[in-house]
Amino acid sequence: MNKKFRYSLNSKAFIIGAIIVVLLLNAILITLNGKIALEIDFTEDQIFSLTEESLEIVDQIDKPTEILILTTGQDSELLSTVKNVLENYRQRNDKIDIREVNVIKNPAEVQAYMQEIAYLSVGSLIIRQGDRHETVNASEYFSENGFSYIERLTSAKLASFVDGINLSKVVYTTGHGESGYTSVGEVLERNGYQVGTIDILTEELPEEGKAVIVINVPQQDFSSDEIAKLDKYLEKGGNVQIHFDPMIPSLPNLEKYLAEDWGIIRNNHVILDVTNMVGGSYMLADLGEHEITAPIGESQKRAGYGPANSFSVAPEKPASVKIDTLLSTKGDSYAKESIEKMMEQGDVRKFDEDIDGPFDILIAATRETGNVDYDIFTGRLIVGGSSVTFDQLTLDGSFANEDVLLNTINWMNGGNATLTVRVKQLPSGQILVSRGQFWMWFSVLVVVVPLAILTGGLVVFLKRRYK
Amino acid sequence: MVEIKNLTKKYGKHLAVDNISFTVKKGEILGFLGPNGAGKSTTMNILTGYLSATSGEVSVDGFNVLDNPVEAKKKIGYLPEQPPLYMDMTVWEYLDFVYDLKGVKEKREEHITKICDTVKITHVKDRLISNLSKGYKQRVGLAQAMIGNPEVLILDEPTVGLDPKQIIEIRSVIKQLGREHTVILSSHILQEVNALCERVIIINKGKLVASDTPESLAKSISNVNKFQVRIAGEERKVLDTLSPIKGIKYLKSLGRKEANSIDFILEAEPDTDVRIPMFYALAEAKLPILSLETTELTLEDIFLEVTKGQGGMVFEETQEDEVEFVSQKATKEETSEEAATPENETEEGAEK
Amino acid sequence: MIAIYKRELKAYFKTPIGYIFLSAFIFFASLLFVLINLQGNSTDLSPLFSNVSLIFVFVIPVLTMRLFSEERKSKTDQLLLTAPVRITDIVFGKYLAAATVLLVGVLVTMLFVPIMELYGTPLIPQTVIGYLGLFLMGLFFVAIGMFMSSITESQVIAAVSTLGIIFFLWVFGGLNIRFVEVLTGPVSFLGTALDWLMNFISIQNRMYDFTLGTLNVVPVFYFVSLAGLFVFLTIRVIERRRWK
Repeated sequence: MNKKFRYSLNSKAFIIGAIIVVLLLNAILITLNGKIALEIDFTEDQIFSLTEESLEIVDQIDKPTEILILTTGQDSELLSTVKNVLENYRQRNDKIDIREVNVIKNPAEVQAYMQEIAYLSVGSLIIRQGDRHETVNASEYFSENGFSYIERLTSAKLASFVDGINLSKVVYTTGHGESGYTSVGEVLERNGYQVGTIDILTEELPEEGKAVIVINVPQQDFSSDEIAKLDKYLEKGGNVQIHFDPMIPSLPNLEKYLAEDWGIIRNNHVILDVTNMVGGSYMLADLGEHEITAPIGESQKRAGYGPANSFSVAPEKPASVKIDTLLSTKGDSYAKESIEKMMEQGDVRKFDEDIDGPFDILIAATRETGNVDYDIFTGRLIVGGSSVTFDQLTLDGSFANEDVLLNTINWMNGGNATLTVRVKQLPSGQILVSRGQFWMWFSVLVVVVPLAILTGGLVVFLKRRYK
Repeated sequence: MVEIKNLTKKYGKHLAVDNISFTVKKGEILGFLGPNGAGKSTTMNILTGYLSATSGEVSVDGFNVLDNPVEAKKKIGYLPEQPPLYMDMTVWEYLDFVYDLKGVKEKREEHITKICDTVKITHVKDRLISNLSKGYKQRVGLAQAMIGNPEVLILDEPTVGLDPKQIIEIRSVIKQLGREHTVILSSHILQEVNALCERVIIINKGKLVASDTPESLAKSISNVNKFQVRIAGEERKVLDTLSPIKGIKYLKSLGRKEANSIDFILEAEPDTDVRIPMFYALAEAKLPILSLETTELTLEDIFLEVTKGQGGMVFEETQEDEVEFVSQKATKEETSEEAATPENETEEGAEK
Repeated sequence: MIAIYKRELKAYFKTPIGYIFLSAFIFFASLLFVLINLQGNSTDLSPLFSNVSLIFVFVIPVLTMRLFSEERKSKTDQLLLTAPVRITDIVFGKYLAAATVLLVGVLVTMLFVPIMELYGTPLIPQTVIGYLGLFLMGLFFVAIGMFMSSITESQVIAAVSTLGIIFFLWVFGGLNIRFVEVLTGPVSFLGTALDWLMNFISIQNRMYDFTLGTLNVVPVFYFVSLAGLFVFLTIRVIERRRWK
């Protein structure tokens, strides 16, 4: 090394140059992030790759399809995720084309779709195939905007361009004081189902096997006409879900129908379990063995539920009916005889007079009808005992409830060529820590370990100080 | 062994070292003399590679400090002005670290033990450095420089701030070291350099002023011509008695320092010993001399001497008046800077 | 380099500094873990990871403040710089020593994983990558701290300025402002630039990438290259001081 070089190595210009190079390289990489694959996906189910189901849809697109992305010419994290998803589609199928439309410069181009996308927001999508089109409004992924979420939304829309893929329907009955279905509805819609309502008495029921009728926590009983109509529907291979709750009164007609025709008895008590309480309001249930629960990963086999009814099988169950448990409470659970009894006891904890668990709180039943001369139909019925099983919080990522819900619908549409885009989410496992264990770890980790280290330091320091 | 060519170091516009050249032969003990702020430490820091020169070349055993820093530094053991000690280590831990740092090849235990014995710190080897006295710290610093048996030892003011006993001990260690090593030693104390070195280089204001053996230096400055005398009696009377004596160039009363006596400062003409005529004159006047001391020669005096152009002195600068100017300017700073260590020097004198 | 690394590492554990750092770091990290994960019944460590960056803001300066300031103050830098080692070795030795203490802290907090294993099934790949991100972020902060320590003789100034810089990166990058939306019209370009800059310096954004379970080149390069840059600058500072 000569002196000149040494000086130049020390010059300000060289140092500033080095800083600029590092910053520039980073800037380039950050800009490229999301545009080209710069990452290795270590998640168990490869969250950032397309799901099998999406790929299946994408592969079936056989006509030129154009996806317009609305932008204002500026980049955002959301946009880059959206583009990342769509880029995956394009790479998979060359029929799919992606184009960015700057709504500030070319408002005319998207004028026609203004009505559907409400307002021109960045990230909204227009999918065009011939003269058909679908839109995805950016507000749909406003609150949740991960890769998999956007993938679900967009591939569901793409599915509507594929012949033979008919979105199946989930319809909620009305007229009996049923609970709303906002959160469940959102989950279903984003997974490619059409969600609607139905008045059983007046409206025509949907085609069997292409839909699921849900009776969600009714306050009033069903009339015998309605029940007859439902039964006929089930006989022809229809799908029905009925969800009860300890808070709803006895519904004689409906319960009689379940007991007599399906051999399912609703036990109108209140199941509680303070041992397996999570976050103060949910209890943990185990998943039974069934087609519906089988695909759910071992690590996530935990479902949440609120105070619940249970169901038992009547001794005189018709032979054509097969009943399986989907969710059962843990051995620590117990049931209060009734709401009134619980009020009388004045406590949610277990009393000696309470009935010991476990209990079945979500069951799946099938009933075969017809005979060999005719077609054999399989009617599918799911009965649940807690209104909380499918609500906003239990459906969130930390429980298996969302998977259970979607799998029940999927199972009900089982024999048909229904394609749903399976949910893939960032799984965040659940752990169960009792108060005692919590305080034990609190004292070990927060008190003992730091204090031990500090004491060690103090000992070393003092010992050396007087050397 | 050590070769310095046209060394210059600028701090901004300030010229700390100004075009210095000299060489040190193998096995030589070189004294580096100069007042504080003369550029001694800067030169040494450049020699050891701690600082880089603005221009000029330094090589140690043929290795250029700039081009071959690692090789050059291997040859050097350096004790800076303030020993570079880690206060939170014990002596042994510290020397063990220096051993690793210098990548010494010799047997660890043996080597460090031997050095500890040489500088007499074996009995404190397990003590924390921060708990040691100044003298011991200095010795640990010296031990540090000796680790790895470097061929050249560079010691910057190794005795500064030590008490007389410690000074003597450290000096004897250095003398011992001088038998096997090339030593460059800086000091602002003439006697020290005199006692230890085979050759002396004097620098002031960054410039090399003189380079010679201590003998000829001593010769040039051995003229006893400045005294401080304490005489019992009245001031007037003393002045009257002394003033007729031939050869007294300068006489001044310093006032009463002890009961019934007056202190005087007295300077004689060069090459004149006025002590004998002074003694008889005062005896005659019944004015007893209570004490008579030759005043310590300060560095300004030496510079004054040196610049007077006596034979045997090598001058780097030919312009005499410039040197004069420098030394006069130095005088001012000296008085304040030297004030910090006057005790040492008087004690120094007492020991001699 | 090894000699300096060893001395520096020993110094951490022969003085209270290393213990203070470790106990403070473990205390806060454990507190977060216990409250977020054990209390909240979650195996998801990503909230912990993003909060630990705030712990780093306060504990990393403790780790780095004395690296070079102390040497200069006690003049021991003369020993190092006149020893037959290169400045690069000195800087790397010190940096690696601080990094090792940091690693010890991070490894201790990795005990959280087997603890969660007792009560549930944590997702190992996500967690391991999260820890990797945490460590890389720490390395970046340590490099900043070392750099600050190299430019001042005062440990206090080194610590406070390090804290200030990391805190600034943490806070400014974490602000949830979209300048584009604030600065509209002709100044929206400035808004875009500011947004971009915010994204660029946002530690949380980089850290977030690690909590997804994917190993992305961008944040890894970000932390490693910036750490390297500050190590390089430290070397330059020390080298330049010789030429002053």
